[in-house]
Amino acid sequence: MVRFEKVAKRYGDGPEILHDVSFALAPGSLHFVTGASGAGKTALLNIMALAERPSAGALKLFDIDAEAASRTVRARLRRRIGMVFQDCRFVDDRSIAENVALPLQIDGAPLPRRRDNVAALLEWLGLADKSELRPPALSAAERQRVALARAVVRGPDLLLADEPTGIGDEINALLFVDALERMLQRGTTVVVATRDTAFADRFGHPRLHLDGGTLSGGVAS
Amino acid sequence: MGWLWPRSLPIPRNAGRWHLAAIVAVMAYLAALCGVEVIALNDARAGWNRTLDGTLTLQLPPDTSPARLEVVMALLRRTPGVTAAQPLQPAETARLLEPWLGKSVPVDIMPLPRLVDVRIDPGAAPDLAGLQQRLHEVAPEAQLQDHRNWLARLLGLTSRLRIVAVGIVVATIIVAAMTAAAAAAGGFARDADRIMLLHALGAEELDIGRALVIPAAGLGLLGGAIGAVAAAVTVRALAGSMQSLGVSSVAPALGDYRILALLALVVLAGCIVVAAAAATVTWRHLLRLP
Repeated sequence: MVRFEKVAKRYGDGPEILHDVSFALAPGSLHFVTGASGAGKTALLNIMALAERPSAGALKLFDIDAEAASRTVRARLRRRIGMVFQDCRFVDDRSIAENVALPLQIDGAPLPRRRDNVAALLEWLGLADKSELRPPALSAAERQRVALARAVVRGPDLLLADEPTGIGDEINALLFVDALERMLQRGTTVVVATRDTAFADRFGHPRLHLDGGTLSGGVAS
Repeated sequence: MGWLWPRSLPIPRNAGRWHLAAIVAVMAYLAALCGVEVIALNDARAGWNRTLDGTLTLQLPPDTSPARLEVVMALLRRTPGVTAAQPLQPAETARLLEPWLGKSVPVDIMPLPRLVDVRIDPGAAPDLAGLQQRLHEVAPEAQLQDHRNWLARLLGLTSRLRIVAVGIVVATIIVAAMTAAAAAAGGFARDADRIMLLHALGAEELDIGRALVIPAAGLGLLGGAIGAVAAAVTVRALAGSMQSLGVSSVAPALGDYRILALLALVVLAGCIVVAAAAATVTWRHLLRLP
């Protein structure tokens, strides 16, 4: 499903953020990526989401060499990935429903399908009554749920979440992980980056720990 | 046509789009007027070539007697290379002066020179120095005016004017392209977060590019159309003014197929230049995305 081989990442002439990172994730698994701030978690997730290119190494997604793939193939791979960004990233002049529908809009899905899928998702996440609001009108926890809805609206094969526990509300964090586990049950591979190692250890899923850009201790559970 | 239209990506329209359309309109206006000027110059050159190549004008003092005029005419007719010689009647001379003097000036009481229209064989032109010499012997104040030298200078001037007009057209294209490129780069910088989000969500570069370039091309088309219409109004007004002065032949008519083709070309060029510049800048930015 996901294979990193000796992946390194460096921005410009700066220090290496990731160094010789190698691992493989099986389909239908949930992994936490842990590490302190600056350990390289976001860089790792961005490379996995094809939002950045590694400086060195090989990346295989769904058995396709993502680095050798054409731009069109990389775009198609991105459509199989759902990403919950740390800063959520919305189109602020569009409604919540329109933001959640964005991936389907990119796919060219017909309007009725978009409307039905988005309505069902917002209902599931308890945001049905907020669908016409704009993102800035929501609380941090609500924004995160909207970001999750947008990430799963296509039914992705790979779901990535960057610091979903960072909003400081334990109940919301637990609800968020609960939603991720439901995606796991439908066969989605899930990767969650968090600096809260204790929180990650509460769920018994395998953990990739980054220490100064290096994967330390391999995969632990 | 499905390949032409992008999936409707939520990329806002450029707030400064009317500036781009306005600049393209001004550039299209200038280019269209320069094009009209080139057509008018070409027409004038052809007309001058047709009427002046192979002609001389002999100017005699106003008090030249009919007998002396006859001597001069006989001399001209005998000269090898002269195919015809015809003295202009005073009424005809007065008509030639009317555009400068107006109708109210009594030209019949003015001391107008006697003019003789001399046709020569362009392939076997007479010895003009010798002819002038012989004319001096029978009419010392006779002046032989060779239009070919004047025509050559006039044609040289029109060639230079044509080069200037083409230079202005090239400059307008460069300015329009640079404006479109700057607008595209500014739009990309302003909407960078949104474009990166769409890219991260799986939008293809081609779809993003189309969503940015097609509206820019529309603005180029609009600007080109406004400039072409303004140029058409100007040409019509100029033609009207010239007609009232009796020099309508200098300005080509608005209904002339070449003018219509030129205006259509200006509209199309506005669209193509803006689209090409916007596409170049947009694609360069899109290729930087991972």
